[in-house]
Amino acid sequence: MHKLTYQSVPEKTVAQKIETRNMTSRDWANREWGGLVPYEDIAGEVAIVGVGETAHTANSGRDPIAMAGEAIANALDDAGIRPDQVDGIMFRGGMKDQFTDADFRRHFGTDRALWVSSEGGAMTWAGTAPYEAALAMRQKKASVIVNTFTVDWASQTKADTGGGPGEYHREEVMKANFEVPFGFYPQPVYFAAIARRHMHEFGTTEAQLGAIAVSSRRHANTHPGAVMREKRLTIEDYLARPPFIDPFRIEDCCLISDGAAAYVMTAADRARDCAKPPVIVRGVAESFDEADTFFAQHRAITATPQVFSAPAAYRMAGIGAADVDVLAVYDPFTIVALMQIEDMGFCEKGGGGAFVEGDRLDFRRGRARGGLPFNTHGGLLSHSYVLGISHVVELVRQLRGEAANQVAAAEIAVYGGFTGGSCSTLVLGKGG
Amino acid sequence: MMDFPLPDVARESLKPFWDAAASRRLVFPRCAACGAFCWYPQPKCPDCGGADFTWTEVGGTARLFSWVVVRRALHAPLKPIAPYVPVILEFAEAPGVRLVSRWIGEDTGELAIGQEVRIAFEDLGHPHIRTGILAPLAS
Repeated sequence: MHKLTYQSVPEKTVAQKIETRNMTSRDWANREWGGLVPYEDIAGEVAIVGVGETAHTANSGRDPIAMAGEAIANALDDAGIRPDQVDGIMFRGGMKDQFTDADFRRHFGTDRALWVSSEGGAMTWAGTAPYEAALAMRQKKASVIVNTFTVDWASQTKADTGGGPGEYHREEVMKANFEVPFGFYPQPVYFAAIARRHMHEFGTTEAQLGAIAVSSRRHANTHPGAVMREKRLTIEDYLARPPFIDPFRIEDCCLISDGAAAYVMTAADRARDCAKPPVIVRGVAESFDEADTFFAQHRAITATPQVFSAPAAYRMAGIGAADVDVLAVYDPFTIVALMQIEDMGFCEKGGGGAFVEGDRLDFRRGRARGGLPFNTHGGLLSHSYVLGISHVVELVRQLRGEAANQVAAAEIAVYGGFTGGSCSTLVLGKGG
Repeated sequence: MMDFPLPDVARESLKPFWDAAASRRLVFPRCAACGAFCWYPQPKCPDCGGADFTWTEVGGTARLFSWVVVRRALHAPLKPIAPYVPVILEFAEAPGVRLVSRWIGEDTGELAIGQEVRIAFEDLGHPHIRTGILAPLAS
């Protein structure tokens, strides 16, 4: 819903960004480099009542539309809802091979007209889809809404078809003319440059980035759906890995896999009729960076727009960061996870490196013992690359008490969505 | 070989930059109304909305804002220059501008954020391939 045009960096901000040490999230939030998309309060209106996925795999040759259909069927089955009861579908417009309303009718053999939104999908939108759904439900446009995302980039990358995660960046005019010819491409290069800045500004170390990779892998090792479930990684293994795109090792970068996921939403007051305990959307917010995905031009290059959306979503939910039992954030690179953990208020800005060391992020430690159960499925780093929608699936399972790596007594779960140019924060609560 | 990613040096909004580079000068668009440098090129100044820009020359030194060592190029057309070092540069004379460039000097191991670097106009593919396009690289 929010459309940004690229804006460059005003003169005054050069001095602002030089000294960033010791800044709190509140200080960051007062800056002018980004902001919040205005949202109405929808606390408690929407429930997630079903979740489903396909298998997540390396290049599979599977058809992305068929994968989405399978994930949706699993989500509807999980909810105890028939396909002909669905009256709304959300997917990501502008991304290739997404599952549309026409695909829904064809796949499920229904002829029902559906409310359609192309503002769904994964990344930031896996967090904001419940907001769009809430507005549609208020306006009686739809009552049972599916959000889905599907991706076959592992197959496309293998086949070298020109598709894949870099395509969007490579085809953007300014990047094509002022970045790619200098070798500043693709995403691992952007975020390695950002990681270098974070190390410079805050003293973050490679081993601290490694702690996120290791924790995510340990969660994947005990998660049946994770691509990396059979592959162990210790911090010693991580540090011994050869340089890749310095300061990154390959383990700092997410997987590329094929797969799909979906979740089903209804009004909260209808959710009790479904098969599983409902999960309630308690807060949601969306934020943006003025410089969009022109990472080299980000004024606050070591921060994310989570500084804007996380406090707003917490406010809508009536919680604080300390109340969050389990966190899942969009983690294309270890540094993106680290920055969001800081920007969402779980530690002070710049303190993320020290914060994530040891077993802090392990699902077994829990908030009561100073931990922060984080990406308990393994995240994009070790579970799958469905761009964050599986993060939401995992949080729903956590709040139902049916997760593979179950956090004890989890009642509040938060998703941090991210595109590079935007963030979302979604606060989910265990239904009564 | 020549699927190396080249800029469109004839594209109207970008031409002044590449024309200047061809004569070994570095220029950035500056808003004629408020004086703000606006990078990347864009139709209107984000500070004041002005639509007139003067391409303004900056000197031959910059500060290193960040850098990356690409040991293995993920994008096949960049493989001929790997390993290589993309850099982001800032300019005292052009506040707010960050130029993406590439380090072509020695001693990558001694690079440090904040250090002064010299702009060197060399072929974009220096020293591995010849593209015929002069670009502001860093040494």
